[in-house]
Amino acid sequence: MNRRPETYAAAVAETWEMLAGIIQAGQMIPSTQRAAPGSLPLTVIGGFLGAGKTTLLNQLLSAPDGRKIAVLVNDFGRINIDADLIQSRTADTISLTNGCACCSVAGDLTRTLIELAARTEPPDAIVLEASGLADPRAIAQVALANPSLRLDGILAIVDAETGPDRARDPDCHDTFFAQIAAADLIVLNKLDLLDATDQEAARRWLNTEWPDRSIVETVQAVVPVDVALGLNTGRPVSAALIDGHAERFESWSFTSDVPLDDERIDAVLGKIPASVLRAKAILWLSSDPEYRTIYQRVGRRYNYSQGSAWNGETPSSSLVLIGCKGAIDAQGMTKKISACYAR
Amino acid sequence: MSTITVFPARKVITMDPGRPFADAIAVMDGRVLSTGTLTSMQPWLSRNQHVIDDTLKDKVIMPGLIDPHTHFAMSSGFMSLHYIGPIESPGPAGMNPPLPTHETVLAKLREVHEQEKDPTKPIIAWGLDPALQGGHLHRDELDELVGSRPIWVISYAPHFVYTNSAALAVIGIAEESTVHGVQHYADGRLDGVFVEIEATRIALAGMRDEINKGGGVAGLRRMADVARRAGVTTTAEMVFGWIDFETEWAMHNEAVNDPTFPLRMALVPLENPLYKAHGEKAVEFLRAAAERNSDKLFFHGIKWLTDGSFPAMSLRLNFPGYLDGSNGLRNDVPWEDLTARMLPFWRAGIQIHCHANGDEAIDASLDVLARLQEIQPRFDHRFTIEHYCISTPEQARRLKALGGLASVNINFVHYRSQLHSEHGFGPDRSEAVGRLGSLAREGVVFALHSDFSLVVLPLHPLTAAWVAINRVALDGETVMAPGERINLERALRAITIDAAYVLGLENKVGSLEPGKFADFAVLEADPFEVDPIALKDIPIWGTALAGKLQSA
Repeated sequence: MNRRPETYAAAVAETWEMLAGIIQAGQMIPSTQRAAPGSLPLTVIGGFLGAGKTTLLNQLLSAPDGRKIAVLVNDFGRINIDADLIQSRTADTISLTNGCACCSVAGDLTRTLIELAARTEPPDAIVLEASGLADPRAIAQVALANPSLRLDGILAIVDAETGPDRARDPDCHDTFFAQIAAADLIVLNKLDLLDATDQEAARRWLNTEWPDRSIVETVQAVVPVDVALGLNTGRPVSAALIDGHAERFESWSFTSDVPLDDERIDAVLGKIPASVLRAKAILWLSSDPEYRTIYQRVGRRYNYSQGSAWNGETPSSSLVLIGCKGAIDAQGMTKKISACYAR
Repeated sequence: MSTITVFPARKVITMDPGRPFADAIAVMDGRVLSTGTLTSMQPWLSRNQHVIDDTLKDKVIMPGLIDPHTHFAMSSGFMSLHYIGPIESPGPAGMNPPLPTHETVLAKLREVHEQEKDPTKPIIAWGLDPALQGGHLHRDELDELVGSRPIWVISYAPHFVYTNSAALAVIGIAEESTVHGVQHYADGRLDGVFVEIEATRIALAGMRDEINKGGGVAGLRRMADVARRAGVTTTAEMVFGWIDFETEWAMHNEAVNDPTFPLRMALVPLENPLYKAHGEKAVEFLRAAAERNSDKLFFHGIKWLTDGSFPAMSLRLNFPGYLDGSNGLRNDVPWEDLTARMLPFWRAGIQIHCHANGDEAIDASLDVLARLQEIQPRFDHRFTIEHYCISTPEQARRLKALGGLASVNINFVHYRSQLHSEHGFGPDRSEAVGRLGSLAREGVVFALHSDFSLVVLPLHPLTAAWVAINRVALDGETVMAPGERINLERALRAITIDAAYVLGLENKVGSLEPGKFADFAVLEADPFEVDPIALKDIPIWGTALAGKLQSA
């Protein structure tokens, strides 16, 4: 692997800062917090300056669903997003500074997250803007030192017009590839600036470089909230919000009151194609019949966690998928899931 | 009167310019009684009981070294991290050499394991690049290497964490865990490898808890031992109250006021959290806090931050800015508010320490100082610019005109100036980082510090003095901005009496004069005799605090 020495040194320094940040966070985070473990979803948005991060943030903030979003605008490194450009509406926009200038943004980030987790009405989603970083995973890992957070997803915004040049530019190459490597979803923005031939070339380039990645094609960074921020655990899974985006996105949902076999359903859910951008399920599994099992997926990455007990409620399973138009094989999915019934 | 202890030495360097050298030093009640020869001290010795202690007769005694800008509390955990990457990288103990192969990585881990006598203390190593260093590690291999001691190895860029059985037990993870990225051997056992964010989070949480077990009071003691081995007897915590004022006080009180703790420590509170907690009453709060002061642990001054950092390339520059046309960032208090925020402390006579790394931030700090002087002129206020990395000769002159001081992180000249010639600041400013020559020519009093260990540079004042007199870059040859070198005497002042002045302690420590605390640095060679390029390599025997010997 050929890495340029100075970007390598910068990445090593970033790893050091991450570890230092995690240690500091460990000192600062109280042993108990008001927000339950894993209850605050964190979305990290990376991408080069000018790719459309501010536009995406504004677009998420103005989405009409009343979701409370805390946006942490990061001045990490030297590429600043201008906090003034973010039109705060229902959201908190919290501009992080280097609380400790000698080290990193870690202290300020940790403190802010502690404050958010202490609120009587915590946000429904926390969005951390992470430009200028070689690898957004480092700052995400510092944020996740707070047990109240769970990682919802890492997005990388790529400017369709300039992206291929960035990838070739030796000064940007390493950072560019690291950001995309970290991403669960790639948002390919500004497609409108390209003619049909170049659009096709941009798609081909992304698909060749990252064949297994989920890619959202956008103009003006318009991404449905339920794609960008995932599905809120507090909402019924069937209510995916893609209103107004129906010409480009689709969702599909399924419910069943028959318990499912864990190995068979895992085989199905593990093979969902990358064109499905988001998936979420509350499952009734025969292997853990007393508790809900929560399945969440963003891009290729998915996990299962134990939810609350059914506690006398009638158990059932529900699943929702969101994808680009034409991505979901509804008939095929229904058939596959029906084959997972445990009895 | 009490018994006098006399320490004959190969040489005593007093840092009193009137009587710079002596053959012996006499101590009474923890303070310096006399320096000179056994003969010259007779007027004292003939009138009092005394003992001669020959322990230091072959050593060089100088005033205990002072590092006036450190961060022990927040960074004690960093000390447990061992670097094992494939490229050279600066660390708290100096440059870490590159480890080119799997074998060298294992050898380094084995060495750490064998040197750590406490069998329960975990090893935490970072920087492994499996692509360049011969592949991954795994549980059985690590078990064989360090046995029942927990170990975490973290890759370059945090993609992988490797652990052994003992660490897996600390993490508390089931063998059959299905969390994405938690890996298994073919037989179903955990193989100790955690891949990508959800899995590494679990491994790192266990590591964090383990590190923080060794933090707090124990961490402060560990940091203090690093300082003692470097000949340091006084430090200043420069962001006190950053996490929580009373929690941090309790921790420092327990550690530093213990008679066996080897240092004195000034606590310099950060203004912003104090302002958030007490608003207009911050000055009163600080005055009341001073009632807790002891000879070893005491509140001093107040701290602001104006810009970012030198190594993180977030300091603020005037034209032409950074190589890529960008600029750094301003810190937590808006520059427009600084005068109003500083004024109550200025009026109260509480010394102001103002972090400014880049020339734009130094201008902003000087502007604030000028406005404070207009509002209420003061002599001897000792407004100190902390770090003072990228500056101009004219700023040194203006700092003098306004009566300010500087506390300079000079280590960057050696460790980072060549790197930042091509990365960030460009050649002119990178070469001239830390303009001590300009400060000396203008007659500004300045100290040298390490910022240990928020920036990865050694806590070792003799190294700082070595950088100040030589200004040799990392290539070992190039002299960076030779006109900014200073002479040895001035450099030694900057880590003793002038550093004491910057902390308002010049009547208590910093030189060996009658009445001051008998705090020594004890060296194996004389800084005035060694080749200047070998100054940093002088072995340090240890220190004395209030006349009590503390060998390293």
